[in-house]
Amino acid sequence: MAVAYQDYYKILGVPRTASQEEIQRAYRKLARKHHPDISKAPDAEEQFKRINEAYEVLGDAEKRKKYDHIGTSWRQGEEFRPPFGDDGIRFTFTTEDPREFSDFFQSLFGHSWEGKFADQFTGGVRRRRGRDREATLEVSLRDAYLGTRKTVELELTEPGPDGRPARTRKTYDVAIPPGVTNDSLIRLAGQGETGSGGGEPGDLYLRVRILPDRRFTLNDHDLSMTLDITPWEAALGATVQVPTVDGAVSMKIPAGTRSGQTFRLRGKGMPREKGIHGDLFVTARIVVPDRLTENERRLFEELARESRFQPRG
Amino acid sequence: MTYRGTEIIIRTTHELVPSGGLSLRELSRLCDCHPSVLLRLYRLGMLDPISGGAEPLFSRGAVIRIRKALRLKRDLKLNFDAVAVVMELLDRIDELERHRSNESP
Repeated sequence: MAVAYQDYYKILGVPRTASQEEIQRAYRKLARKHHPDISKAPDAEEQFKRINEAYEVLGDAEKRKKYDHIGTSWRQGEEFRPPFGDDGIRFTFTTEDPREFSDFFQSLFGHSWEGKFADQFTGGVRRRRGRDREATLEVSLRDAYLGTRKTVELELTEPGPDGRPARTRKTYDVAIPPGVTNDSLIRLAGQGETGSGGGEPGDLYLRVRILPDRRFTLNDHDLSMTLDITPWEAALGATVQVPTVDGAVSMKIPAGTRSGQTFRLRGKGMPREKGIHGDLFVTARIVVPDRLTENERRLFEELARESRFQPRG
Repeated sequence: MTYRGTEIIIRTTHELVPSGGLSLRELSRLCDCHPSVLLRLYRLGMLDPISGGAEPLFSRGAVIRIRKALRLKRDLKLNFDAVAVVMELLDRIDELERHRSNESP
């Protein structure tokens, strides 16, 4: 089976000649930066996993040797066919669970951990509860508002028909209640890793991440947005349509509204508890037409002549 | 194969009225850690019970915080004191960012 080549040196940003100490330094630095609980980048989890995989290999002299052995001519992502089968060398792993690493990693080192984890599946070791698994569940702002059902597909390693661990995909149907917030936690009991020695399985935890919205900014249960208004709406006052997550509402803009002035629409934020919603903060922004018609220009010029208004003291 | 049957541990992270508290045992089960770990977090002031008495009860939001603290501890090989500092600084960053987004939406 062909897999995508992983350039572990490139991932850690070190030359192939780097010492073990340099590799560890690079890893520690990147791990701190890309840890999903620290970094706010949307792909932090993916990044962190790749860094850990790279370090699992390069941080260990034995594994690094085997990796270096396949040559330097490969490029990241290139189609790679492992040139050797099981060469009988067994590796130890610092990461407790190397099962989530890439197919490339599995093709080089998979047979090593199979032995280690096979015990879990056949019940050869002492009774121990399986570890919990965690995954992120991304939902749109609208889905978080209204509640939704989501299908989550996760790759995991479970005993195959022959008793050996095999990679499978599992689908979960998850009900998301209205009003979930960032970091809400959903537990799927018994869907974590298999226990050993007949121990019960761990649980699967899904962490909710609400995706950024084009219009609304989320702040706990409150939403904020910018509303563009015309100079005459600002000066004279007007009733305008304001979008909310579940449809537009009318809002009165008082005469004399300034750009940057914020209005609160009570109860138009995210659902909080039964019958209670957060608020929607609407910030006015006065905009002018890109291009004026002849008539508009004439009227503005007339206004400019007539007006005594001096905003700069 | 589709699995149904989910349990919402924490629906929202900012509950107005905290829903039923968790015992130390339940909390350690939900955080996948030994009660002695929770005791250390408690001694560091990172874990406050919502009610005292014979059996202290903890908020469901504690599950999120403890799981996060333990992830950081494990992944970055931190000791308990360092985790406490990191958590406090992350809280402060969150607060500052919220403040900033409120001022200039």
